[in-house]
Amino acid sequence: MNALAENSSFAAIAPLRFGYGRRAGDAALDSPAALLAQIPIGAARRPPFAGEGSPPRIAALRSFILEQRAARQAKDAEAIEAARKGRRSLLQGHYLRDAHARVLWSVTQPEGFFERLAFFWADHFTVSMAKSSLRHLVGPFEAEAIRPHLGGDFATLLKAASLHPAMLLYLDQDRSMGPASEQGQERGRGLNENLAREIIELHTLGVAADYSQRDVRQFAELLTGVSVNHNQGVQIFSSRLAEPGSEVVLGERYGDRGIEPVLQVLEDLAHHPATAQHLARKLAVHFLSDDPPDDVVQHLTATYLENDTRLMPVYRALLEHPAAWQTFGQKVRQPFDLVVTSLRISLFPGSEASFAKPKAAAGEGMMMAGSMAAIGRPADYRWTLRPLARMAQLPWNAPGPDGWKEQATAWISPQGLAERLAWAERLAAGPLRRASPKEVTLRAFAGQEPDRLALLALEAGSSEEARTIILASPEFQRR
Amino acid sequence: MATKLSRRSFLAAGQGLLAAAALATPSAVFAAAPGDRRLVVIILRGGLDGLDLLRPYGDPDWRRLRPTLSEGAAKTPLELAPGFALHPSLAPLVPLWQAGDLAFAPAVATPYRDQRSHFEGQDILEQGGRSAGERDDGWLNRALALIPGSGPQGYAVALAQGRMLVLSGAEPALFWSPDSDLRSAESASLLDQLYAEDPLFAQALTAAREADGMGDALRQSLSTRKATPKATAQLAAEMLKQEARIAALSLGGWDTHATQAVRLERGLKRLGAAILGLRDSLGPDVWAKTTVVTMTEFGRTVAENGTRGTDHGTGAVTLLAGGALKGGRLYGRWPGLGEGNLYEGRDLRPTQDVRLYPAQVLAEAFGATRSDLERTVFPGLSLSEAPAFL
Repeated sequence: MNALAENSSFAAIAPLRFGYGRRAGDAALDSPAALLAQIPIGAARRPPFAGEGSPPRIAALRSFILEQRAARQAKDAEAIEAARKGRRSLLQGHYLRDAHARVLWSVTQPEGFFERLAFFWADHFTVSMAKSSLRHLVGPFEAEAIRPHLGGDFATLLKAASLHPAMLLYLDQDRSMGPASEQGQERGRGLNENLAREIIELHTLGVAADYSQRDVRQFAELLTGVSVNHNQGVQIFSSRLAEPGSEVVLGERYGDRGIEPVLQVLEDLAHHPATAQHLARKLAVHFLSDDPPDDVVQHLTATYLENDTRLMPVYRALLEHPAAWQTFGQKVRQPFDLVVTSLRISLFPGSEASFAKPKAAAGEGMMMAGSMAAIGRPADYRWTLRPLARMAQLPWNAPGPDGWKEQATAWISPQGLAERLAWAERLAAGPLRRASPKEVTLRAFAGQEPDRLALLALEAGSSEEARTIILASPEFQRR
Repeated sequence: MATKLSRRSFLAAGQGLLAAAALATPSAVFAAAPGDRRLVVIILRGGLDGLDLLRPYGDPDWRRLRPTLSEGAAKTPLELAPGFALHPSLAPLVPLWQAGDLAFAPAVATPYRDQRSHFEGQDILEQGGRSAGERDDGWLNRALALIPGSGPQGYAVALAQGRMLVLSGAEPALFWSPDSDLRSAESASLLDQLYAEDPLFAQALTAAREADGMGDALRQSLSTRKATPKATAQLAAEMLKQEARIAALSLGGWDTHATQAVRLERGLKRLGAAILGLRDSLGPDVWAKTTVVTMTEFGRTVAENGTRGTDHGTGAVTLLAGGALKGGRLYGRWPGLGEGNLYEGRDLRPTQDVRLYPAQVLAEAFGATRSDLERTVFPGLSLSEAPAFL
């Protein structure tokens, strides 16, 4: 690994560390500026998993729920079942199509660094389909709240993500009401602190920061009124839910009611030094090392604070820091990263012949019929969602609001490794079967050929085995 | 599994020993020769209808609220205790009941109330706390830190395709999907070289090979490649006969909103086959030291719905099996199904915390102390009401 790092140029490492590998035809990434230039391009694109947008999808689910309710009252068994099925297929259908499109989008987009950042920020602001009533919203959430804003300032990104209907539903804000509000009094119900807690603990200050349970509670009271209108599918402010009075969060008084004080808290949280530290560390952990050097974290923290939460200078500081290159190879690719990178090198333009139907000997389920269009065929998840499901990282399916685990040990378990080996074998016998081991190596390492792997490949009993070895190597599994 | 002790797991095991010595209660001392008992936790995902698994068929309210689901139940009931009959799909388990190797707690629940979401319900069930997100690791993983001798990774295994939060956390444990298959036998030495300089990959490969070796042997003897619940239970048994002492399995398909009769029959047959497969593969000696605890995130509504199914409820049943338990009886208090007895007028009222059952096994068979169990493994649980079922 280090040998690869020592002998390599910026252009050779950048697509491996900060992208999903290099495909022929991709522009050379010979400087931080070349990577940063991808961000406005990526942010301006509208990905297919945006679908028709959140509002109509929320409204569509609402009408199934109303139908189901009416059918229950009428005790109409067929109508109940029909509404239940409709609801389930709405959720499941949108999710499968969006998740499949999500994988392919990162495979086909030239802006690898932007795609990696989109993954990072969608994970930072996790909305997970583990809550199954949100399966139709996880794609639109990333498209609407994350991607357009990740090149701007964090305060804007935070507001967009925190107040998106999908986040409000995920973190139960729609269940929260002020105990002394009109609705709270009528229904005898009160606060749900979930959103307030996660904004402070996960999205901004971080769990180790200096805040109290009282801050969480006061922020939760300030957030009352923020809710979702299910008929229109949008975030609303309902004063009937809002707790009267002003609140003190982290020593500042905010109030009285309305969305303005909420936006002000978010603005102040974004500017807080603990937030700078928390985000700096998360970026360094995600991109550089499970245990990043302190100086890079401090440098990113300072850069963030000096730039009024603008993110571009932080990304630049990350790319320009020597640690960004010295720590090469310390991160294990998460399954999504591995699958996307593998598919990118399998789909080299000019190699269409290798995607032709293999002979029957290749076995069932192993073949890739046709070219890129075949992978992209709707409802054919063999090369996208199936491997990701087996490696336990379906898109937008993090177990909880804290997102995916970063530590290598969480992914290189016996089961995880077995699935990675199986994936390497599938690729070696399938889409890459006509590529020589040397060609696979050059694609996998953006034009480099690590000596160690070249020697090991010579010892393989067949070229298929050699290809498997290259794809299963720590050099390829790490970045 | 010959996984080496990592420094962290060694330290954790050491701390467990110290804790056990410092806080030892008489019952912990009694259990101070741990190492030979087995615990199998089966997570039943989707919300198993306890009122159909163990049917209170003598209760007129049960028949009244379940007009179609109770059809035929009174004709040839597999009566286990007065008024309670086993679902006919579990008939193969009746000999276990007669042998004292099967018991039920018919009205249990986690601390989860009122929201009835699978997502939160399963999180709470597996995290072991009072509310979702109170902990982010699994209770069985936290328990490992309290068990002397639990150091090696292969001591506790989770065999499932999906995520097994219950065993996830800082303590080492082996996660294996029974349908994973290492096919690279021919490149074995090449893989060794490939990972020689990367300890993380090398250790994972070693453990994967051992799990896979057992799986392969089993597949050969069963001449099947399918990871059925029975085959998974048998793989667990193979591991429990060797280094493993704790196994966690997962079985889904219990979310029976419609045509419950058909769906539950399928699910219960698989569950029964898994338990019998486990018993047969363990053999009488190990089975005698084994306790199986099934847990589900919530029970289902007492009344059937308009589609011959049931909806998400509260009180549920826990099935206990194994040679180590005092079976052939029901545990806990039956709340009744009369209108005034139902929880929120719709669900079976839980009379016991389901966490008491695994807690009791961890205390009596694995040397975990009561205070550790109440504080770190199952926050908020009081073991003073623990049923003496072992």
